[in-house]
Amino acid sequence: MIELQMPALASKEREEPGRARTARDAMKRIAAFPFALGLAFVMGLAGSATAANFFGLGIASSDVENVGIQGLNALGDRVVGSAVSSNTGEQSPFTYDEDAQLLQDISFLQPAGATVLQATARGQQSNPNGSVRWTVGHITEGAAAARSVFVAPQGAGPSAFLPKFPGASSVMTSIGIGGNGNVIGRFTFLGVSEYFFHDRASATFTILPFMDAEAIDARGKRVVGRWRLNPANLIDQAMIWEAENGTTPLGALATGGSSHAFGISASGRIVVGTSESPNLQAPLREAFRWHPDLGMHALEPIVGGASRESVALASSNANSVVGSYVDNGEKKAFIWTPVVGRMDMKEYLATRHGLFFKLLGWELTEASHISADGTIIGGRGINPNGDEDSWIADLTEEDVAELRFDPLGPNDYRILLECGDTPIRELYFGLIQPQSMPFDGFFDFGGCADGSISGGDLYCTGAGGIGPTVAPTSFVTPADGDDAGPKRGDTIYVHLVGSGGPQGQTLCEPGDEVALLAEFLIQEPVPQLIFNAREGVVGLEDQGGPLPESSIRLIGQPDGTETRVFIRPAVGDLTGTRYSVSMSSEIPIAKFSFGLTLPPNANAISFGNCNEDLGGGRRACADGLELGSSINFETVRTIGPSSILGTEGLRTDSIYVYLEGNQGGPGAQPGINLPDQQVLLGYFMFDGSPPPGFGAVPTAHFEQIQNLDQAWGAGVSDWEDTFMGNVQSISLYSSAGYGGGEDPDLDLDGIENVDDRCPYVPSAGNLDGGTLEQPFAPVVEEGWADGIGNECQCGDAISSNTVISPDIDQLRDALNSPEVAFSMSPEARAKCNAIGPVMGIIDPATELPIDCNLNDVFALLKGRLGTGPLIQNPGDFPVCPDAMTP
Amino acid sequence: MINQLPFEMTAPPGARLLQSPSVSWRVVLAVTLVMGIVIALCVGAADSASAQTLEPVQVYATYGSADTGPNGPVSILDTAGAGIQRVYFWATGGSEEGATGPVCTQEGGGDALCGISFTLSVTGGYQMVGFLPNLDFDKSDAHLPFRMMLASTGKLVGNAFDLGVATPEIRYLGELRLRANGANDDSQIVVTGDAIGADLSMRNITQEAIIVPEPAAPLMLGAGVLCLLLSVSTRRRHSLSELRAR
Repeated sequence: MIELQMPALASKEREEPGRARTARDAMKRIAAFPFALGLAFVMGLAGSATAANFFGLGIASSDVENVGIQGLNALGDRVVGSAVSSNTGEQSPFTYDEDAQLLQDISFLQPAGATVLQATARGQQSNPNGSVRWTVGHITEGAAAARSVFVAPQGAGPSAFLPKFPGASSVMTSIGIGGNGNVIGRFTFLGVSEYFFHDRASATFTILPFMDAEAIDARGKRVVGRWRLNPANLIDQAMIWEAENGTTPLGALATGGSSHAFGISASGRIVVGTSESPNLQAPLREAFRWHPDLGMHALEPIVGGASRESVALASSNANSVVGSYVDNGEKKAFIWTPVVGRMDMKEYLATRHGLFFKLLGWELTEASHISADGTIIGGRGINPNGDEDSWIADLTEEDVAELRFDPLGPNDYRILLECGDTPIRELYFGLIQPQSMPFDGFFDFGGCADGSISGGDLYCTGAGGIGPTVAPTSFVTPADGDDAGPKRGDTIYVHLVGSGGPQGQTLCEPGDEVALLAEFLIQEPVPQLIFNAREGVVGLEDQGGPLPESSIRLIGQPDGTETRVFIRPAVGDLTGTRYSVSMSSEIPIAKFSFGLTLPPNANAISFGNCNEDLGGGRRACADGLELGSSINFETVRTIGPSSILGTEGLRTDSIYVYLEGNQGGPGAQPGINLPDQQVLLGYFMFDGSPPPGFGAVPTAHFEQIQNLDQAWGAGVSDWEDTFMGNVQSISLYSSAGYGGGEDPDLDLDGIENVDDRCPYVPSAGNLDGGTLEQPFAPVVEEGWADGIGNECQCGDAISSNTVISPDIDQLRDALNSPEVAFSMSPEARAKCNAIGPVMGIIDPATELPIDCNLNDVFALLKGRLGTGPLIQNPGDFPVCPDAMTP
Repeated sequence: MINQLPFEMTAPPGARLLQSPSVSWRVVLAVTLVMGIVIALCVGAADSASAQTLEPVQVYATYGSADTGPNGPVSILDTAGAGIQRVYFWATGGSEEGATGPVCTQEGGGDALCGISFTLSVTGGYQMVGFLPNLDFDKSDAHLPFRMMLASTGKLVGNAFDLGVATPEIRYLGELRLRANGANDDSQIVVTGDAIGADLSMRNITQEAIIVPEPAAPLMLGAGVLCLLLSVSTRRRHSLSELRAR
């Protein structure tokens, strides 16, 4: 971590020598400590059901300064660090309490009896069931060189100093702490400085082989930093250390170059840092992300073309990395995700999360902390007062607005809007005309009929069918047949301005009934609804701030079945020409068709390596090498791009694909998917120069698919078209070469399967807080992670994350009595199956899975004794079939 | 696989033998032999047809605390004022030793039971007042106790596990204490449930009535009248014959 430089402080103890600080004194100080920020924080941290938020930790209080964030726990609900009292000049540790929404002095956590000169908290993690919250920090006593590390196990006894190591005169500082109480830090003894790892269970110290140790994962098992690879030429490289497996050098982006790891995800799987790179002239370095399957890779350049000189400081468990970069000599914070690539943090928060106004006056110089689920981010910056400060961004998902396209008849529709958490002042969206409709075909949006002087826009003067909250200053831009940049020639663009709400300027307010925006008539039926996204902004909220794309959800049909098709760059593709197509649906699907448009500057496109020419523009596949495993390659057909498609009302710039499945599908038919699970359909490639930047990727569409029924030719049976409800196409914009990839996310929780500790159960945070307790195998203790996430830890009936006797008793009672089973949560009941078989069916009489049996309890009981079938040898971790089997 | 059911005619110790005075021992013997043959044939057929399929587990009751084998349902007085009566429960999955891997693993075989879950459902005038489980069911050092529960529906449910080395023996489950009020001749206790086989597969417990009431007074009276009529008829036939002979 980058050290926060704090000025030396005068403490009460220095003012009053010999007065030892006691816990009671500390509590008194809490009451008087001027850190309370009160209503400045109108939003909480993790767990809030409201929209995104941003706030500074020090700006709202005139009584503190130099608020330095030092640690953020995996859940994202506790921030710790140190701050200086403006009144006393004393530096004390603080925590931000989400529930109280206060910055609180936690000096009382320091062990009694020390004469504290200054103190800081460096880390805080909770054990899996939350019963113990470990805080680590260090104090400086009377002499500035006399530093000691303290550990406060709230919920498990009093605070205590770590023993002095290796000698009584050691100067010790802390760096971080795991959820099991293990600590990393640094000591200086007899002029030698080294890093240490303190194992709480055995109360032993280990000297770490690091030149710099920087961070420890939330489990308290893995430490990252850098080691001296070659003393002769001063090359240092990033490295992982763990007690069980020793060291794992991570290499560098540039062969033989230097690298330095600064952060590790809570799960311990992802490591980030900075490295010399072929993209930069040494000694400049750029940010890297290390994934156990992908190895070390550079993060793609900042959108907008800033320098690649950067450092990654922290990673979520999944796909969010934060850090800092250099832009024209200025240090700025960044975020990287596979969806948006790498963006300036301030721009990201402003445009993607609607925090524009809350960021006014701020300079974000560094993002140094991120929660396990990536929703809470912390860092440093300069606040609007011009002071150094720490900040928190809470990206907890908001309740988004819904824009509906509701058919009244073949040519008659209503456009409806329902607000989420945010009032909406203005809205921009588009209506794609059917291919069969001429560009000058008839349409009537809300009776908007007055042509403007310049661009032919039709203003809504209130003459027709616009809704009561739509202002007549709204206007519609008819399709003109010509594509121009992001503007499509086949699309009618709508710009609606609000006239409702308390201030008379909103289209809808949170809590309102669904608002009618306009009635819409069109010559040809079934237009498609899109947003006219201008740099990701789809409208304005009530204060005039931008509404990001993510704040509104488009719904094609009310109450329709949801099917989503995902397009994302394939793993290993660095040219931007090979993509994967996957899909998920709420219903089992036997046969599926879709179209893929060519991106700009692409010359040809093929799907599934299907190049057997069948004539008429149709092609078949020779094998299934480029298809998903659930696809019957003998039935796959593609057609297009071809001018002959225009005669059927189809797009001539697209390749259309027909697929049949080979796995258990609806009824007796083989299917391509299981409901609610994402499956890979196949890969497509196009040739031509790579699209500029990141974002110009092909899109899937579903227009007039039914017209192709007779076009596929022999060997493909026609079928009755089934209305698929709300079918969406989602394109993800990051190249897999930068760590994206096409790994499916079967439970759609935003964590790819490869990283997901519960790949079939949606999980929050991807946390793995424990395993099956084995009382006679002391190596398996509370908090040990077994690779199985909390939400799917088999046997964890009381959801403590560790499987202990009360869990097994609960399952025994549930098997005895439906009343007990009913009293359990569905999530708890789902964790009954310990040894299979996996049936995936719920017994309506008990609400337990039908694969929840007496033998599962037996397996758990035997596992506690360290014997099979769950445990092969004492100390082994169990394997949960429901957790790892689809 | 499964023991052929014994058809002994002697009563368990301490029990009163149910015998109708109106049915001759020859009839009883004949019926018993026919049933025995039928059941034996069924069992044999089942044995030969399903070498890999385990038979249902049987739970049965005895009058005394000694196992006298499954002899059908035991009869308990269903009269008010009879006080607390005791019956003893047993379970058997058969007697065959495993020929494959160790018992209570997925490679195991044989008839050993690694755990059991049973439900005792009572109807009529019986009232279950307690169950003293076998504290040694689990032969491991853990001595895992039974998990018992009197459900709101009046059912007694419980489960138990043997974390030691289970053998294909008859397993003692425990002592059921019950009382009766004599109000209903339909009183009975039916057992259902399942058990963990030696290969950790689930085996059903045969659903059957294992406790039934002793015949009530009207039935006894009817049987007595029938006996009397038979006796009169015999004497009358004798009288007619004697008259003809004269």
